[in-house]
Amino acid sequence: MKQNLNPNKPNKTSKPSGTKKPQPSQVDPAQLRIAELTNSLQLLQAEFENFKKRQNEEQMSTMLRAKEIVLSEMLPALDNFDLAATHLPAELEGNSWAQGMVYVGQQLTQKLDELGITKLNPINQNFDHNIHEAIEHVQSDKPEGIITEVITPGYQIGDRVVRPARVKVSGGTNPATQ
Amino acid sequence: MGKIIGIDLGTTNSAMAVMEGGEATIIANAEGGRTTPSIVAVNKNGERLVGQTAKRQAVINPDNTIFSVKRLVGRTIDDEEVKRDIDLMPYQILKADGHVKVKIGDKYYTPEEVSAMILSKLKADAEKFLGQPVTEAVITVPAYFNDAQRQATKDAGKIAGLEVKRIINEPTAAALAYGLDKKKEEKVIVYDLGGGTFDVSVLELGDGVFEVKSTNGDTHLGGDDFDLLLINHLIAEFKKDQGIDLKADKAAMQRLKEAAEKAKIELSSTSQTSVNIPFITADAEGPKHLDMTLSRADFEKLVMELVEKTLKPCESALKDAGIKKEDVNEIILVGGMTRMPLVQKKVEEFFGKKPLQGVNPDEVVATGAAIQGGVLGGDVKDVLLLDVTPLSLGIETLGGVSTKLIERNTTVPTSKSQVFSTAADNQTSVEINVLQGDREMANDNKSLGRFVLDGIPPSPRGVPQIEVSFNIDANGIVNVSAKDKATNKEQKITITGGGSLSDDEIKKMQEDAEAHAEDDKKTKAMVEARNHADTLIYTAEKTLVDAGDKVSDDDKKPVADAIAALKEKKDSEDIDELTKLTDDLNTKLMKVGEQMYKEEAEKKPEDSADNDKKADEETGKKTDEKGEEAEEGEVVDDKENTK
Repeated sequence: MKQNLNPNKPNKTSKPSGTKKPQPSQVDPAQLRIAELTNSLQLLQAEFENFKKRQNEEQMSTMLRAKEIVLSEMLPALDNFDLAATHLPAELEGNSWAQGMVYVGQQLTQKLDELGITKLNPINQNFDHNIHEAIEHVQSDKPEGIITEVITPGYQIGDRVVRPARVKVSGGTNPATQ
Repeated sequence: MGKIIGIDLGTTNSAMAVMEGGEATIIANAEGGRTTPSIVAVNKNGERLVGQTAKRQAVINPDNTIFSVKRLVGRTIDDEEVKRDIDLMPYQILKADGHVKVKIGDKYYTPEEVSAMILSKLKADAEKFLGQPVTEAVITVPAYFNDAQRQATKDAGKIAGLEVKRIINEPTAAALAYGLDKKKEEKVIVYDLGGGTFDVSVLELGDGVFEVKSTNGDTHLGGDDFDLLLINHLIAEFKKDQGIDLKADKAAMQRLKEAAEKAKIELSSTSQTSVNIPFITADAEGPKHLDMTLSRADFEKLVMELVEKTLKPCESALKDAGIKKEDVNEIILVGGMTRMPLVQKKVEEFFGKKPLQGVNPDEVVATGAAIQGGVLGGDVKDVLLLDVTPLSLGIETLGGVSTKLIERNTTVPTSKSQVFSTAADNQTSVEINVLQGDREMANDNKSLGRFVLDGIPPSPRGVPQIEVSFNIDANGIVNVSAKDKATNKEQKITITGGGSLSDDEIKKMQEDAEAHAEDDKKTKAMVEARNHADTLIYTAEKTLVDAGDKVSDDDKKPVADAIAALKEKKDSEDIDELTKLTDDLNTKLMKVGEQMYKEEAEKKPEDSADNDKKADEETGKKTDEKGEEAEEGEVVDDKENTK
């Protein structure tokens, strides 16, 4: 099929108008051109003003954006630190080296907190699509919609979600089929 | 009239763009994403969710989460595609009131109504982004969409409150994004390998009109299939290594999926990557880790069959269009998967021609739709193509330095003003040497013209304010003026033809500036250090005179000695020594200044006015033989206008 991209050529599918067109009045071409150029200038000016406003807003959020990018890159390593702590073998529980590594992990979490980054660990909370991502719907004694397990925690900077917490959600005794 | 936005309403993801300042800009959604999942849901609270939020809860609400609704738009219940989807999709598709409808909650919606929900979110996000209402759009559809499907898409726009100014084909939009509509006669292949589908289209351009000669493809071949092959490979390797099947572990599969996608992307730019997932699972023995190295060659072996599968539809499309590979003028790549070097290589091998790149393949369709929106909205017709000034413009200042007022590559028309002063006491005229070029020293740049402004009232150096203004109009004509702010006396010069430099000469000057950048910087630094030393000697000598008996001779001596030391080395080539001696004089002078102020503070109030006047006069500079202007630190005004 042919696609006409020229706004001055009518499309094949356009229907002819039923009314008679009025006679064009005599308009000074110079005046017409002035009106055209004025309109273009106003549009350009407005566009520029809007662009400036957006640039200003973006500049203010650049710092935030930079934090988000760095945090996003660090997330896999942070997750793995959490997992390492979770999987601490029983026989190493008294081990001072192992304990030191756990402290390092805690230190990382504390540092994030100081930077205004909130860690979301929503176990037993109600599922919230704004800050959680459901990975699995599971059968559970817990009420429907309650988070039964956090697979990976989420992270937020202010109210901006950098990564939602990835969770398993209780379907009660009858979870949704996959 | 507001902006007409361009919308790529995709099966899996949608994107939108708008023309701004002659360029297409992708509009980010409210969540900051450049694409929006084409997913709609209604949760148990009756809340309607669109995009990312809908996607996040899909697993726990599959009955009421609608995705890939584009497959149903404009179709009837008897269409094969619809029948297949009825079996495949977790949500209910049925016939109601004579139409295909999907059930969400306890309500039934046509696919157009669901598409309208997606478009409504895009509209709202675009309005937030642009800060103005959005009521008009150009929406793209696959080239194989029939009239019913196109009309349904238009209806979806209308429901969403958008007047759809045009429905254009996705491959046509891609061609627009590459500016191919500017060419006369072209045969174009659009190779679109997206997340879930593969489409190939043959377009023929003539008289500004694109004709779709043929389309072909595979509706179940896309990037997701490439990911799946890699994931299965990793699962198999892990099972071989650790004896554990990760398929049953949803959490592990999620991490594996992300890691596989990341590895796939990395292998487009590196020859090897590592897939490293610690604590991916655990058994009685303890935690298990996945740690594998994957080369680009290994990955290409895995997916070769999929890539080659895209070539048969290409052959069929060419055959149906009645054209040979050799007749193809351009190939455009669309879709994220086309970033893969193997895909690009196979396409180039098949068509015998390198495909066009340069526009983000995920955004190229939305970009093209925005361009069409711009054309329809009058943004992009007979636009004044604005030029740039290829070389910097400025004047010669003290020490033979070239001081730029307008940087190269500044869009014209433009104007800039800067205030300069005199270099010598009682200097009553200044010569303005207008320079073109990016070398640091005036002698190395081209002089476009000179003029003199005289009648400057005799004053200490640095006191007069001479405003030098440069103005370049859209035709490249340069007007330079110099005005004495005290007398309003003004002189000007007009330079036409940009100094009559040819393109080759301009290029040479640009290259010279780059080649000599380091040396020029050193030369300029030396000149500026000498200027600074001159200024400071003048100021210091004046201060000592003005200090009179407020400062004792013992306190003045260190300054006098520092002046003498600096005068001796003023013309040396050793910039470090010069800077050291200048700093030393500055420090000692400051002490004298402190003392003078201390003395002043202890004096009666009526004396303070006189001292303030004397402090103001301490801005003068040493006499320069040529009587040229001194460029400053004393620039008082710096106005910039872009017309």
